[in-house]
Amino acid sequence: MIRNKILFFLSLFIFITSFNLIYAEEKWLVRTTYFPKDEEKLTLGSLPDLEIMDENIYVVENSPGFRVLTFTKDGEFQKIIGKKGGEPGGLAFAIEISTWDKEIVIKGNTTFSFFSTEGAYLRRFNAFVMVPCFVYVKDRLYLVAANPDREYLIEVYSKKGKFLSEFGAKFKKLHSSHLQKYYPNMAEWLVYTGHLLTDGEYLYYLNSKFGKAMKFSLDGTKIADVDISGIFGERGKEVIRDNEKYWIKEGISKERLSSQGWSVIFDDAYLCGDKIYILQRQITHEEYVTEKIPQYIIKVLDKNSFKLIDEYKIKKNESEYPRALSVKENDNDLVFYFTMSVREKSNIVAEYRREK
Amino acid sequence: MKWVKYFVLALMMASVLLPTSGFQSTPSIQEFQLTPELEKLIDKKTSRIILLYGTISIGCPIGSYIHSIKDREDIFFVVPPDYTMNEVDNLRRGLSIKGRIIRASNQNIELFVKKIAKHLKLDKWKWNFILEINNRKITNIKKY
Repeated sequence: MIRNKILFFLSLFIFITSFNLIYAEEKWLVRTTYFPKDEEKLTLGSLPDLEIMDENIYVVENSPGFRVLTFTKDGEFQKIIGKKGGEPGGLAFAIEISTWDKEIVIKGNTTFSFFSTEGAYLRRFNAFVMVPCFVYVKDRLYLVAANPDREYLIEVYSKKGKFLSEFGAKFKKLHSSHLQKYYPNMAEWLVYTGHLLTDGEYLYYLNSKFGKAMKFSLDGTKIADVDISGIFGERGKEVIRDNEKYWIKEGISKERLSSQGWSVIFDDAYLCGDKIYILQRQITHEEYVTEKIPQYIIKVLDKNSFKLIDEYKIKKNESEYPRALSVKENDNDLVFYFTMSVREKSNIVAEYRREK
Repeated sequence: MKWVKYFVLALMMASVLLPTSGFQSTPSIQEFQLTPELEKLIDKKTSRIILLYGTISIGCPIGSYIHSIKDREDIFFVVPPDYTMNEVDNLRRGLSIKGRIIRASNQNIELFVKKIAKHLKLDKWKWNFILEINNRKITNIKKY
């Protein structure tokens, strides 16, 4: 009898301790501010990307205008860089941003436009290749190039648009469906979608279709090639299984393309210090388009081992959807900036910090 | 990136489902004479001249069309003079073009392109045009 009681209390103790441990480890990011604060004066459209440089935040707007809006880190609007148009200095699209040494580069469709941080137009060039992601570092543009006629994935260009080299063998052989046969560039673009990051010494390519991470030196030497699909849980496994099925084994039909085309494991990634921060939506694409409310998580990876070292959940309103993130390390603190799509309202940029 | 991707994807889907959506030919081509510059460049083998004066989007109709004829050496491409040589190289590389690519060196071709646009009643002249050539004469003009 006494033995049973001891066992009962021991079990209870273990249960309570485990419960506390699990919930004590759950970390949250909470919003500290958002901008623009005065929506009457500045309404934001579609915001696919943002970047932090020198205490300023550069936010890409792709619709209704193609431009970059700059804010101070406190959210004060500063200026607009670029404008919609086909002439030099004009932007035909504005999808992604990369910054290096007081220059910012905006990727349109296949065109790269360069501006100074002051907003002056510098130059542009057309690479004539579909680019799922790119990064600008040390006067070189590194593009993940969706070109089915080439063996390598990453192409290097000078800032004046001269092709210099290529590296990184492609790692998927696509099934020859209608799309791959007639629109092979588009098919490769969708399969190699992901994020290219740099710390100034190395390149990190994270593929969001199949959960693969690669690290290269800037001269193209491969340092690491890791499967990171395991860190994305059951949702991640489900997405990768479907992507393998439709893109590699069976081929994707026209009907399937609209739902499977953009089915990815994560939405954005950002490198800050020794860590890679990944924005993951905890919901399938089909659930998302049927307006189910997803949970968003930040997965934190060590940039050298690609091992998962931390995880944060994001506290947000139901009508808000994070699209892109940037991270800044302050003294003993981490600041996250997200562009947020907001249903039926002007979109916002939100600052988040770790819950105390 | 989601809404941007949807938008681009919608454009591309349209190009998959309607591969000739940007295509139009003109019945009357008698008034179009090749410019002296183009006259000099073509030979007996030339079957088409593609004037790339409009936007070229790789996943959209013109990109798909170029992809379908990329190995043809009897077709040559003319690009405006404001293309840099790096861009000409990138065009060849990006679209794996085997035929000749010529950067127009004077304004005659631009005037010629404007004339075609006017004839086709296009609201702006920045289009991509395909000139079909037979015995060094234009036999048809299509636009993308």
